[in-house]
Amino acid sequence: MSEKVSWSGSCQRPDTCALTGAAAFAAGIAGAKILVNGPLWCYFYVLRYLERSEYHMAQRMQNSQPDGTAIVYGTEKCLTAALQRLQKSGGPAELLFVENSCSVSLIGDDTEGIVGSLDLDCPFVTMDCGGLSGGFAEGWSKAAVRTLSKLSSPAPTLCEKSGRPRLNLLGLTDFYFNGAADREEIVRLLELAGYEVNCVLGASSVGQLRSIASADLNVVCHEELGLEAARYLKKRYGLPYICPGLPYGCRGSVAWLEKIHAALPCAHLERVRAEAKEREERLVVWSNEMSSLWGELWFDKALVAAPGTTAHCVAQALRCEWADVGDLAMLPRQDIEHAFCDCADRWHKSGEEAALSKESGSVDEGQSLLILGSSDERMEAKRAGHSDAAFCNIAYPVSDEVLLIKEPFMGLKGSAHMQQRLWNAYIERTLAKSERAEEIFCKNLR
Amino acid sequence: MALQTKRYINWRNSCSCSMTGVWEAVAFAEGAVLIFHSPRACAHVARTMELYSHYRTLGDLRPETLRPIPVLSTQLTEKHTIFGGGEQLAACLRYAAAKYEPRCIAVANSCVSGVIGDDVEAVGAELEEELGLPVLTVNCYGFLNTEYHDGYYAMTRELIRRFFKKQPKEKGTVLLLGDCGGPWGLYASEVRRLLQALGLKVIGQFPGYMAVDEMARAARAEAAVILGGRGALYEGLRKIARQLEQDYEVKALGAFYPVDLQQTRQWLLSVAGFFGKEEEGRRLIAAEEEKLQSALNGFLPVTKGQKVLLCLGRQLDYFDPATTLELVELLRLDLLGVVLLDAYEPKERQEVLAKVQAVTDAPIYDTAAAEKLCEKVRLVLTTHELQYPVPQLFLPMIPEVGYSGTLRLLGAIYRRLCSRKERGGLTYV
Repeated sequence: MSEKVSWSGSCQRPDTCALTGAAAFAAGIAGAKILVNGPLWCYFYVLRYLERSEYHMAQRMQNSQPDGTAIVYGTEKCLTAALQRLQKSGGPAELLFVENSCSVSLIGDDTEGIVGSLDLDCPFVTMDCGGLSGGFAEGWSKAAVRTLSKLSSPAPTLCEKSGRPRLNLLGLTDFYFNGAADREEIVRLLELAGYEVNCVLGASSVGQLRSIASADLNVVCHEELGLEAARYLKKRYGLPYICPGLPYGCRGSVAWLEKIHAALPCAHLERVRAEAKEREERLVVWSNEMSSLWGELWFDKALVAAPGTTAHCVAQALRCEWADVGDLAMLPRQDIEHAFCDCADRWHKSGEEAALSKESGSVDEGQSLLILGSSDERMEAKRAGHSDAAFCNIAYPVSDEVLLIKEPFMGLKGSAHMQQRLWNAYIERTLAKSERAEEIFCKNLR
Repeated sequence: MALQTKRYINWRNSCSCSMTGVWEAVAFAEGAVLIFHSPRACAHVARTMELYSHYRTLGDLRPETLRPIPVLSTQLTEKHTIFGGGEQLAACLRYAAAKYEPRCIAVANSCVSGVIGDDVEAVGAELEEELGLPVLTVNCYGFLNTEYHDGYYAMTRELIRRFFKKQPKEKGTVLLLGDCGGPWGLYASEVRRLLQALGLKVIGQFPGYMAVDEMARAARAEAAVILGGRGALYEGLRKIARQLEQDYEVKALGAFYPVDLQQTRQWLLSVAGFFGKEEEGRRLIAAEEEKLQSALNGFLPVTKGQKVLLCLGRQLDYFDPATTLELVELLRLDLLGVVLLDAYEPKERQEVLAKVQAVTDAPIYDTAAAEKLCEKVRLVLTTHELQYPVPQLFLPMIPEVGYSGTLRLLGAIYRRLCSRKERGGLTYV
């Protein structure tokens, strides 16, 4: 059964497991409670991940804690006890989401039957989704389709029409780094253009999920999360979908909106174009001012490492709008079907051997390096001797930065925010280098 | 209303995963490669632990002087659960041997490989012969009736069995045994500082932070100092220390746990005594306590008589209330009571209650009464983050040891009491 697998660096990727991704999907449903039918350790690491975005997550999550005996004889007893504890804590649930870890999924428990026999007063979804199913994106995607199939009726539930073209956004999650702020900016742009956002799959209520089929078009955002759900909804309700990528940068945001407009025209695209023009003009003037003091925002080499769609779309905006880059490499955490970046010099497959080490290893002394990634890439780069690289976090895990103010990375507001962060990273790096140069200069004088 | 915490993790059955324990036992052992025989995603737990440790080390302004070993995953998928993962493991072992040319390969088994019944030991033995290098396997499968420390101890025993050799003793040398945050962590740093002050030389920290090639000479140490000293976790280390003593004549020094002043004194005297340095030991204690008293003199005008509360929800294996009560006494704080949080199973709660009653006369409360008490105090010393706007100091999971550790805790309490912020919040030491 052995096969050709890329072994090297298989554990040097910061992706979490499907159990986390599925729980993140459920956690995005208002009032949903989650039960992890698996070991405490797995539950704890899921919880720790989700708490990065939602502080009170523990109030909505429980764990069955099966022991070795339960893995042999079944988890019914511990699962039932955990469900009862969950029901008692923090008010009624809008939805109960029960997910089996990988070892529990192997023993063939009838989780659906066990949960169903408890006469719950809310809808429930059960599924197997441990690490055997893959990483965060696979878990999220699978949970989305499973939940839609459980909640949606054969005939679509229709909402009252507002007269505006109506969209669903598939594959946005608050459990990506800065996800909530990005979601709000995307919704703002769409509403500014004249769309009605019907349902955000990944941040919605049970009621909105039930009426998901009443939209005119599905817009897949993070493709690794939302594409399977789009296919499911197309198959089930004939709902069309498009995959325009993500709106990074001013021009990138307008281009993104134009793709949606081409599939489903909106009334006020000009409003967005006007705001984009005004913001871009300000950014150019402001960048000129910074350049006069600090020099051009230039990096000999840049690496973009992030979830699949983010990596593509950030790389595109980085080179085409935000900074000048001599060599651009992209390290997406998942392979996605559409290519949203046509300006990267290299694009590593998600399972490619030691891509980060190869890329950072090829930076010559004296060259300036920019890494857009997570604290994990920063740790790796530091260990590889690139402490003087400029860093900017765009993905979890993030241990070396706090974002307390809700400002997006995406959209028109996000374009300014990202330019601000890039400039600050560049200035910090320049200051650190100048301090070292000063030390060397003084040493030589002595 | 009962006092709430950010989260309670009630520990009913297995708590942890043995795979990460195996990883910790070899994490920085240069020359080794580790294979997680698991779905790829399981590796993120070890990666997360490594990441937190890395940034915590940077936060403490300590250099990370070692590099982690390569870690691979057999990347088990659903099809392996039907046909078995043995061949996948063999292929991964061959790759690891060719790619890294290691001195040994360690294998950590997941619960998935346990459920599907892979004979990991047989695969390991076969590949050891084929590859001509040690393949270290342990009989632990994720959380299946094993815990983190089972994996850690099993791999430690295996490393000793494979690589330790009897050595002539090098005078005045010590081997640190255990982890507690690694060689750059505060625990090992303080132990090393005190040992060096006695004129002793630390030759390394085992397992986890010693290169495979160095292990053959590790037994040249005259004594092994155990890092950690409580409950089942400590018992495992003691057994390993006894094994080192019996098989390699490395004296086990672990009778005391330098986790408060009294025990730090005893610990120092016992170590000094073994090396015939009793006088140096007494002088060191006097000098350290003088420094501590000097710091206390600065703290007391602020801390004396301040009302505090102690909130406990941690298992006794990881926590001794007496240690915290010593701080309360040193700073002359006014302890209004001890709250037992709702984190304990009934039997556990009784044990904690008995332990607390044995060391203090302060009244003991449950969470229902705790909110009102929080209104009356300046500071809560707590094992859990409370969802109540009162200033809190989080009692560390890895105990602060020695004089530096006590001083850090005293300083943290002092600074918290100096604070004029009224909004609450948690201080991690």
